[in-house]
Amino acid sequence: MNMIGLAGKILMQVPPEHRRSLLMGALKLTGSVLRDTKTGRIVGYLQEAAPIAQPLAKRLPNTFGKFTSISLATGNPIIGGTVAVSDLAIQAGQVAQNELIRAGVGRLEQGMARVGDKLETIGEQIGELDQGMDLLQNLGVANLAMGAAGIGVSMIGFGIMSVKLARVQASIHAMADHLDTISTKIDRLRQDAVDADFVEIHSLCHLYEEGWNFGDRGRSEQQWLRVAHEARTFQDRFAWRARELLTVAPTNAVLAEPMLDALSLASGLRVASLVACNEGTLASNVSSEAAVQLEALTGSIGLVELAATQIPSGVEAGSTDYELALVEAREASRPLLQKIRHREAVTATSTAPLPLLEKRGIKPREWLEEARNEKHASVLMLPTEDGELEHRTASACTDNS
Amino acid sequence: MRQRSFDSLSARDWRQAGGTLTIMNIEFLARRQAVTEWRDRQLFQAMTMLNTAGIDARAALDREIKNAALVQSVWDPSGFVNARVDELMRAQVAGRIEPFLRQAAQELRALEHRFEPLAEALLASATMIDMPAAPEPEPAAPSDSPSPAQQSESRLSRVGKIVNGLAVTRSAREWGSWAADGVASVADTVSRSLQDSTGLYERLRRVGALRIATAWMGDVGSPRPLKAQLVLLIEDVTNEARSVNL
Repeated sequence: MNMIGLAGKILMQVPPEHRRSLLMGALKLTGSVLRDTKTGRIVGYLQEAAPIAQPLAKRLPNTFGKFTSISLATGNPIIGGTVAVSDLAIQAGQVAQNELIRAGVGRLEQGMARVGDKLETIGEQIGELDQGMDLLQNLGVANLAMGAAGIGVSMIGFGIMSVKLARVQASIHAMADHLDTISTKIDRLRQDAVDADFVEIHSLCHLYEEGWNFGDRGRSEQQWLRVAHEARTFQDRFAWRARELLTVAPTNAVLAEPMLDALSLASGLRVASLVACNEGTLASNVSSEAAVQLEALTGSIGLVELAATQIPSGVEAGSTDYELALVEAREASRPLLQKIRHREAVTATSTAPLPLLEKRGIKPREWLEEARNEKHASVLMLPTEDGELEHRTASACTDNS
Repeated sequence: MRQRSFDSLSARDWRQAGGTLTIMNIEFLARRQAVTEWRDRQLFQAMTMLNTAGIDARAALDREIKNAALVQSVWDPSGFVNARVDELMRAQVAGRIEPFLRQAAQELRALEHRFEPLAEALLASATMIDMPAAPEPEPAAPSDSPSPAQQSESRLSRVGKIVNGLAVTRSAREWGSWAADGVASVADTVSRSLQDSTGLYERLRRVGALRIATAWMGDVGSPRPLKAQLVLLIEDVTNEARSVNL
């Protein structure tokens, strides 16, 4: 196995041939599961690793300023909120969507041609040992990685969780005026209650990290079980808040976004804690429950709900202005919709590798530790037998040539 | 959009899963997402179809309102416009509803074989769509409004005063010929100019735009706007399809 394939004994760096296949569409990513597009056969499972902390800390802009400027420009804080929330998770990887939006309604074909050119350029560059954001973008998973749900089991430590929590909290602050309007009737939506919950989740993340420093793994597991237990309250509380917002109006999907991200972070913390305890079955159950919880909240949200908040008031029905506004609103909503769908898929697949690990006699904690100890790649892969065979075949061809 | 019930959905998920926490199948998730995507496509298609019909109807109305009698446009703009708009919209839309629903049903079947009954129900719903039909305004009572002849005469007298005021001298025969051939058209031109300059045409256009925005493309109303009917239909099918997917 060549150097590019190696990371540790369990996980490997994503091979160049898989990266090319992913960009060209021969492989597709559902959550963190890499599959053959035609057959649906699973090739591998992606897992974020410790080095993801670096692009996460550097990449994303200050959402406050953008929200404020967009709100002032459009006179519509909902539109501004949409942009701010979208920025939080998806700006880094939006090659296709940004091209479409910038191209404008009447120039979609030109935009798609430019997208095709960009993808070809990226494909030609693959083969080098990519690190950081380049790797994430080349995999087309930058938006996943930057999002609250992450890829695979959450890397809680290394400042990763702190950055994500801070950004989600900032999104909530940015929408404070709208949330306060609703929260006069619903106490739990109050800003102070939300902030208090974030303080507690931060504390739990610190407790989780401390668990790795115990000399006695028994004590570590006690700590992690406590974290998993206590984080449950916050997961349910943020789910409740999101449900309240969405029940008032489905167009509150934008306002509900940070609550859904917080739900995802809290459930991710629980899953990571249970995986660290080698409680694979329980971790899978928690992951599944969170996926059901999330899908029940967002599964029926589509472009129609999101676009409704983007159409300026005063546009007359039965006019070309309306047609244009409809197309623009639809395209502008796609990034947020993609984020919502990715979050559902990642939550549903975060513990998907565990049965394969069990079959290979590998403890869940070993797998997680390897991702934590990784020094170079932001994302690693656990190949299935098929995926490993393909990589070996591809490597042999490369060596022979 | 209709209110969504989260509790019933999550409880149904729970029961369907046998009350146990099982790993969500990737295909299961993909199917539910595909249903939502199907719904989005159909709703955008419906809105585009109605909007396009509205654009054409407004253009046709614009041509028609130039023939509006002054009396109707001032005193009964809604009556004048609504029936015409509905007729124009029906002409545009009537032939498109069934093909739209047929295509939607076909795409639904392609997602999952278990959706066949839903697809059939969707197609059958085409006959239940009600299109807006404003009543034609009642003709004005004879005693309340001047007859066309009287209207012409009154126009003639008004125009006559203007002409006399301009000190244009005409022989009686020329005057009579002018009255027979030209004054009526002049009077119509005056009427149209009057309506246009006082914004009455614009008023009629606005009434027409409002009719399209409310009766045809509105989200709420009684009777239910056409767009709202189509949205309700697609949403109902979507909710059933998502339930089938559990």
